[in-house]
Amino acid sequence: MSLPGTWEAVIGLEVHTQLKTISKLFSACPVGASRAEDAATDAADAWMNGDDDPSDGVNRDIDPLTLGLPGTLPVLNAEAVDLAVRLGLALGCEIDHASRFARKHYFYPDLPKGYQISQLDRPLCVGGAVRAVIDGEIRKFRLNRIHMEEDAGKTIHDAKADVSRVDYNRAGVPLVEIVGEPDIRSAAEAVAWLKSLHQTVVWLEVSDGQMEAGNFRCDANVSVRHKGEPLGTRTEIKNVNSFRFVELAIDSEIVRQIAVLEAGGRVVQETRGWDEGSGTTRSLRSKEDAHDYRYFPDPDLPVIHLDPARVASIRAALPELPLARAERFSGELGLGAYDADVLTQTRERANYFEAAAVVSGDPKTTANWVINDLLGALTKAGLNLADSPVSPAALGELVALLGSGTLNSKLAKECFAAMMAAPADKPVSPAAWAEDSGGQLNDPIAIGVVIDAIMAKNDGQIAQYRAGKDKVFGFFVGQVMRETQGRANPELLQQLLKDKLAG
Amino acid sequence: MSTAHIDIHHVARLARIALTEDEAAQMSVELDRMLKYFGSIQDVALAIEDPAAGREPTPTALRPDVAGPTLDRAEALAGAPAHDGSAFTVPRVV
Amino acid sequence: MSHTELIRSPLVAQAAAVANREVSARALLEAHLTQIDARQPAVNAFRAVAADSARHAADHADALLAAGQGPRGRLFGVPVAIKDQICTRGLVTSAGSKMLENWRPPYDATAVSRLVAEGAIIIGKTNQDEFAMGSTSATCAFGAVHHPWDLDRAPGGSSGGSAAAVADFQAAGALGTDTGGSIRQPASHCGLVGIKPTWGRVSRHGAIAYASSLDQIGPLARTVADAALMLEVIAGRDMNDMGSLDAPVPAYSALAAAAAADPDALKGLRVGVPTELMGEGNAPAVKAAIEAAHARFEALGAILVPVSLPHTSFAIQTYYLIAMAEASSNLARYDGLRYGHRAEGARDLEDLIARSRSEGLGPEVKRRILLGTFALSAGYYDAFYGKAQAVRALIRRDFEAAYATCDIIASPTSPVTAPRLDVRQDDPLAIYLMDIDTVMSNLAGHPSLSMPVALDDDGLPIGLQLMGPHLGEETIIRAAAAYEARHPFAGRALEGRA
Repeated sequence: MSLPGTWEAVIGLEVHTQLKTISKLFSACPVGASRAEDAATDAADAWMNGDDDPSDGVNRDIDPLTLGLPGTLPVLNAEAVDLAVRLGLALGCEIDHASRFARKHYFYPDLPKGYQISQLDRPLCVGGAVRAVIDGEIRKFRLNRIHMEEDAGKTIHDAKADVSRVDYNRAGVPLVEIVGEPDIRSAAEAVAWLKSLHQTVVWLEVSDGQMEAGNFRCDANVSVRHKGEPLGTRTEIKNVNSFRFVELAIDSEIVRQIAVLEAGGRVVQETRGWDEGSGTTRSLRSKEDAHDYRYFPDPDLPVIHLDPARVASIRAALPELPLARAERFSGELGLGAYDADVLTQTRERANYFEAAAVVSGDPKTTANWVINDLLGALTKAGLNLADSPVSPAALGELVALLGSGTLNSKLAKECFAAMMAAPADKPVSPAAWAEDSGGQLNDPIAIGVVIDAIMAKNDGQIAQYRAGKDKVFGFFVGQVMRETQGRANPELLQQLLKDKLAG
Repeated sequence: MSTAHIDIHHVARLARIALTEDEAAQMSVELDRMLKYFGSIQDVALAIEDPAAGREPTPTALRPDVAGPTLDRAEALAGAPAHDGSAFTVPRVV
Repeated sequence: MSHTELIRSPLVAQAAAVANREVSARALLEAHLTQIDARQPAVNAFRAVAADSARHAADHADALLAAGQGPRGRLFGVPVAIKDQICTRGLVTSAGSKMLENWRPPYDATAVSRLVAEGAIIIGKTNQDEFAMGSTSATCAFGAVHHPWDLDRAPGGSSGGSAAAVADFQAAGALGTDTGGSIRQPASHCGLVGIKPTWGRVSRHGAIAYASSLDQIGPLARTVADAALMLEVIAGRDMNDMGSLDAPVPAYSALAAAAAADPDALKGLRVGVPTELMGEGNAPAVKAAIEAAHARFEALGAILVPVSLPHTSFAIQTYYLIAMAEASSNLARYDGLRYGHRAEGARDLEDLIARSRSEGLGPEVKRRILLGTFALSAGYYDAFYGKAQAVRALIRRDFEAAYATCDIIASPTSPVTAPRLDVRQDDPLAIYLMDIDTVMSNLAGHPSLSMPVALDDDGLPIGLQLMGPHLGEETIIRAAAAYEARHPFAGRALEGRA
């Protein structure tokens, strides 16, 4: 969306994402993750419909600390720290080897202790950047910090009755908050930023990043100004849970703010939410009513001194990141930018492709097969890549057989279909299949025999062709293919047929 | 520095404590008096850097990421002032 | 020895009697329960007496002994009381507050589990100042505690119930908590030995938090040996508390015994005499008693070293600002939504929370929450909480400088003896100022012990405080044991006075 006149939008994003741990941030209480999310929603629905399901998942992942029972103390999860460090290192942050936790106070039913344990003055990671491809160019957007904090529970409101239900399954789940500097200038850039960050956290196995389940949440700070002028007043758009809505919400907010300012008004600093119905943002609460969080260093938690050796080993174990890998696929393996991008959407996919390409020796063709055949077939079958009946090695073999002429493209597609349909315990080997089918018919004499047989039965078509009707050529090709069950080598067939028809 | 004065209503609101007007008035007097006394720490010269700063710190021992026992939901709700069998219930949050 | 006499014996002697099968665990327990029954209406030491579960435990202990499988643990069969501030699974734990009047924790504090693992029998929960905030135990929502030697007086606080119970032979020993003196001062007022350990020496897991950076659980007992044994049992690293120290636990009990038996135990011990705490703010009898104690140390070979803790005059301010701020945070969870008292007839959620807190919490607690909230609030943090932490560091340095010239510091535990309950002290600040002796070691995180050394003219006990450096429990326990061996507390003669 281009803005009128000299207007410029200034956008900074904050993302909260749930770390992929087994237990909660400060206690060994298990994290139920999406199971708990689904159960809570199901339960809420059931309850509002008047069915009381006692086996629902609400308030199952709780322990004394989760509920903030008197006398309980927080004990920090080592894996949560490792994951946060991993993310920080991957994004180029400085890791603080002596970070501190702080208490952030406010009263709300889903906050059991009356304060959230978060980080303020000494966050775990400082600086760094998110890299995203905008209009074909890799752009760098600075980060301010990444810090760790615990999640709150969930309050499920009932519009009819006079109560809210509180579920503490999510309370205490480990989060990282990733805060970007306001380097973003459009909603489209914001979406690219988010997609890149999302891809990164999933790639690194730091988070599952399931936006619908609420474990990758975005808040957008938006303001406008005329180019060259100081920053305008910003509003915060909270908790927009899809890329599409983020884009719509930011665009709508930019338009709104410009309209307000052009009419001579002023933008109120406030929190706004995305209203799907109206397609606009709506005021939630005024920031003037801002909380006084009364932050202070949490006395129950010591300064978190990191072991430098451990940080070093996390750094050494960092996988090649998506953008770098895509660049390598283009540069070294000769793939086009689009294909490289598709193949590096997930680490799984990139690994699959690379393993198959090693076997086939032909990255470009392998890429085509993965993108055009494999992914589509998996989607149709409702399967994840991890559950593919076609292994990377098998696909690589198939591409190799095609390349060597053992199979032609028609046969290769048939073979592929057979491989996809095969049961898990009896996978189809392309080599074996090729052998069974006879493979591509590359013998000119054999092809010649078939051509002769068909020509002998089709004087009329021969005459038409020789009279100048080129289209009839295809008739003969089709007939030969049918006779040979599609196995005839297409190039050989073309050549031989041409010669023979020429007379 | 001049003595700070506590805005008792503001602080009571922050702390979610309901005070009657009498209580507020009395607290205000008591707390201001305490604050006047406590405020004398402003007279102390600033502290010097932490002497521990120079030493190489030991890495903090952290908890391995292993699932532990949960609290039985019924037991948790048993102590709750209001619940519906599976969730804690509170007046509707506006 | 009759059972009535046995309950007046030190804890260690009672444990030995059970182990040697001179008395059954059950009989020992019943003797205590009888004493509690007789004295509870007057003294009100107990919040709840766990008679059934204690009898069950005692019978089980006796069964093990009869089967030749006991004793299991050094506290086997010994009845011990637990301050209401400390979580005991299934047993009401209210922190002296209406807010938690009916709350039963689903877990035991680590200190409690360790006592039980050594065979101790939990006889009940003791009354205290609400949420450990106070020095008289008169702010208890379940009635004030009365001094067993003079029912018109307070036993001190906040662990007044624990102190009264032990001093009155209703329990062989007890656990208390100490944030600004709440173990030591009631020990001093009631003629007991009380120990506040180094911060982190004893796990805080299960101690309902008042001020996290200051709180510690510790023992109250009638002798140094008893207190040393209890401390040894409960101390040590706990993975449930990140503040708990990774340091081995010395054999305090054996060290105490050895020091008591060693005529040269105090030879060359450098005893610091803190100028700022020996002044005219002390009641004359207290000043005289502590000076006499100093002289006795010297006579036994110790070297008296005058020391100065220059920031003493800022200790009360520093302590209260930090304690109140942390308390306002730790008590934010009491909103009546998940457990505890919930008000009726509230307009909406905000009203419900505010009313529940106002109804459930007493005036002293409210005062501290409000001031604490203020000290953390926007615009005031740096001047109050922030500054207090800075001054705290200076107090710590004062101690470190002092310990370069001495091994322990000996001061009064309290400037006064047990106050009268009927004298209303309308000025909270005046009461706070009485904490001057004890808050110093909480601020520094250092260990400190109180032991009875004299009586004043009203026959009320006066406590000597021995402070030590970080993880210096060994040193102060040995000094206390050696002193006690040569100068047993005259208050013993008052057994049976109540």
